[in-house]
Amino acid sequence: MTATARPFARPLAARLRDLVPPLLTVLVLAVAWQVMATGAFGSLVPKPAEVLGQMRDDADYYGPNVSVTMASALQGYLWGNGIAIALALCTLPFPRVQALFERVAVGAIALPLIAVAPLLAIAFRGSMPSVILAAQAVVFTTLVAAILGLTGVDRTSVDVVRASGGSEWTVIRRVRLPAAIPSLVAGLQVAAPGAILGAIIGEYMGGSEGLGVAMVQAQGAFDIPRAWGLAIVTSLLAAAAFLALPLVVRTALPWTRSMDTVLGARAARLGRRDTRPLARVRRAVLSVAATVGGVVLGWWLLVLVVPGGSAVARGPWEVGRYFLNGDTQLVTASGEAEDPLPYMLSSLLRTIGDAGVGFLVGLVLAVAMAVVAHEFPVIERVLMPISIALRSIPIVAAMPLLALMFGRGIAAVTVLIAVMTFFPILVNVLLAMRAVPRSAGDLLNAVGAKRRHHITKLLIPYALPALLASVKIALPLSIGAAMVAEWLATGYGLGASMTVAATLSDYDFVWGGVAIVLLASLMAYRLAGALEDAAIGRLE
Amino acid sequence: MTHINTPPRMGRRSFLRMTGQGAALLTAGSAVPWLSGCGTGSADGGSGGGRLTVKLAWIPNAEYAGIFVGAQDGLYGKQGLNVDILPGGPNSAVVPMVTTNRVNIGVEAIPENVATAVARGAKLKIVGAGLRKSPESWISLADRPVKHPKDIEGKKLGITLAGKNTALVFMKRNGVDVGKVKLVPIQFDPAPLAAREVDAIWGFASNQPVSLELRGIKTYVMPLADFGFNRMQSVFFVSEKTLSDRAARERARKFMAGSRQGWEAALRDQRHATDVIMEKYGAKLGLKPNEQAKSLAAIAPYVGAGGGSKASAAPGSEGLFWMSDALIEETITSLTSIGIKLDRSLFTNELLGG
Repeated sequence: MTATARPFARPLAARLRDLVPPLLTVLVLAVAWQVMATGAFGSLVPKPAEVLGQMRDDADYYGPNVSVTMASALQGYLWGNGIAIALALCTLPFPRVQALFERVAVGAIALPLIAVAPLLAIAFRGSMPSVILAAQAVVFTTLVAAILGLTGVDRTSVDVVRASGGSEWTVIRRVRLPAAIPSLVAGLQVAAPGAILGAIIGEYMGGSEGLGVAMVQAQGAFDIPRAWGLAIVTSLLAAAAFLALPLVVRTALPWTRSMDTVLGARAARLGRRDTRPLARVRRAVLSVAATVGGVVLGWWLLVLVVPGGSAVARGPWEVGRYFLNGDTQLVTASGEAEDPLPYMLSSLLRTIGDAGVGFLVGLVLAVAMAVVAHEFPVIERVLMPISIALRSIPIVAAMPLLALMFGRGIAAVTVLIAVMTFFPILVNVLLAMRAVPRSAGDLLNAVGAKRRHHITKLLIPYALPALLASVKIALPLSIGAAMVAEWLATGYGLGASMTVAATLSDYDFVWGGVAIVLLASLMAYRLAGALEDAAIGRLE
Repeated sequence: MTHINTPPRMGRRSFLRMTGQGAALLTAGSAVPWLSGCGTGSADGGSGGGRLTVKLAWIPNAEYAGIFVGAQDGLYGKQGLNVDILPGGPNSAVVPMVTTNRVNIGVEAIPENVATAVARGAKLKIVGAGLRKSPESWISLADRPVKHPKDIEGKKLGITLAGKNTALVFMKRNGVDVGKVKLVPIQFDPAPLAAREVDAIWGFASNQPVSLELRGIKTYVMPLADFGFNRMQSVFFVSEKTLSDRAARERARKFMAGSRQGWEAALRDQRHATDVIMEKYGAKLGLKPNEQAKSLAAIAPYVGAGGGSKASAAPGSEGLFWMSDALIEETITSLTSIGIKLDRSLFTNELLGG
């Protein structure tokens, strides 16, 4: 985005030229759409003209529904980001606590909706569940971005303020906050489409208006042109939110410099660490214990605190007992009742398998695209509208089409997860490649290196930390996406069996599933973190 | 918190309550007071004598026509009852809302969900059957009909995950080799059938066939009731506490009476009922009048269907919603066959008495 960092400073003609590739993309997509509508998928893909006509007819009804959804999304966005930033600020003096919060926050994105939905429904009325789900969708990414921004400051600036008698508060106000803005903006930007999707999912729990309710109505009534119209409106809203955010920040805080920040990257190391093996093992054990303890405590409090929570939620102790000697009433693959733990583990393995494959495909595609986009900037401008749109399309609306095009097996799941993880990885890696010092590239050119060497010797190693940082975010995301696909398309795995359990009021199984998913997500995050440590350690 | 967030039906009290929650959210650490604050919920909250909240399982549509007519025509108000209607959706949890007293009455599409909750210790009773014949069917395309359960062998059946257990057991009972059937979750969406991705879907005779037909797709409907799996559906249920508390019981009785009159009116004058639905929810949800009218016409026979012809002949105590002994027996047999433990004590007609 360095090319577009200061659009106002560039001549009009150049800016117009920049607009051509994305517009071409839209045109190509429209043609592809028209072809699909007349081809094999005709029964599920309406013609563009039909959808546009429906959208014109529906213009009146978008207004109220959009405002309901956007109001929830905005509130959730503000609360989620507020909480995340406040947490990052409050824990600033305690880096260990901060790292712990960051890991516990992984739990927030990994918490399966199927378990949270009834809890929210009994605790709240009106649009509150939507607001909370919107907040839940943003809190993790913003927390990560805020911590990165606040801690990654120039140490000498801090020393200068301290030396001239400034308090810790002055350091925060004068140094840390201004320095955190670019990273924070990147986090807030990625969070914006997430908040809208969170609000829509909240509306699935029951409501009489909102884009989510309208979508359910349109799909249930088999009104495909209208469902597509709604999906387009949603995507446009999400894309607008994503694109408008830097502009808003630039208007409000004109002195801000570049916005290019790698989301999820690790800030400077916390002092010198003891690198002896024993000390490392001890550190790892301690941090795992603290994380698990934090999550269990948060879980227990959640169940305890929500009034009537015990009707639909199970605490850590009950789940433990259930695993030891409960039985499940679910009709399992064999058609007979089984013990819960083996059944759940086999479901989990399937889910992890799904998530793993989808994640790898998304990763490879994103990195390949990042390289291509870096080498040929025009490709980036072609790709960006697509990847923003992909990130913003409501999965529930897209799933029937995905299932038709890719079946209901691993292919559909893979596509869904790849779509969900592609965007954050692409953005991160591309930004990091941009930050490659020009001198290094010049050096390679001077010795006559080929483009291939340029990529393998310079771009990839340089982008590796950013890549690993995005892996940390994308891994838990993949598990969540796999469960959604299992619920909506394949009908196997943990996502499906937990849904069945919830309708049978088998909340022991549901919350047992929650525990297992949380554990798996934390382990994935931990694994990615360890990879990152190892890689950074080598680079240093 | 801004005013745009306030849903239309939300009164000043609930708005204040929500604002309070929001304000308390600011202090993330002190979550306890605000949660328990809202825990008093509006189920018993509204006071004022006659206030009742009903939670539906799905978004507002013709399936609930009688309730909307009851509200619109003042059939509840006439009895001094003020009814709040909470719509549902794909992720809606109805049973927990009733067990935790967040709402007074719940409407569940299938009685299984209530029965399993009771088997797990919830104290609930079914107090009326909105549909006295099950509209649940396998719906296939007219040019490739699935006319008999056996026809599904070697084919693909679209189900909701909630109905997976039922689907498996139903097939086994009808001699279908389950291993030869591919079950895929389609939730509520008829699109996979229209696209011929699946050969049949599990749906409501009053629902998907109507919307498919409106778009020119002819279907064949095979009601499960014709193959030994009949039961009441769209059941009204309350917690036992509601039945033992005199005032709460009286409110619930008034609600059932008003809803019954509402449905009678809706069946008598379907055009009026369609107008009511369109007026209340049409603009917001983009409902189409002809679709709602067709849907209502399709569901009407299942609402009116009695436990035999006797019910329709003798209204009064055995009018709409009344669960005849035969219907209860059929429901118990069907649910027992899919492995749910229940007995007659789950059902009571006491709120429908004259």
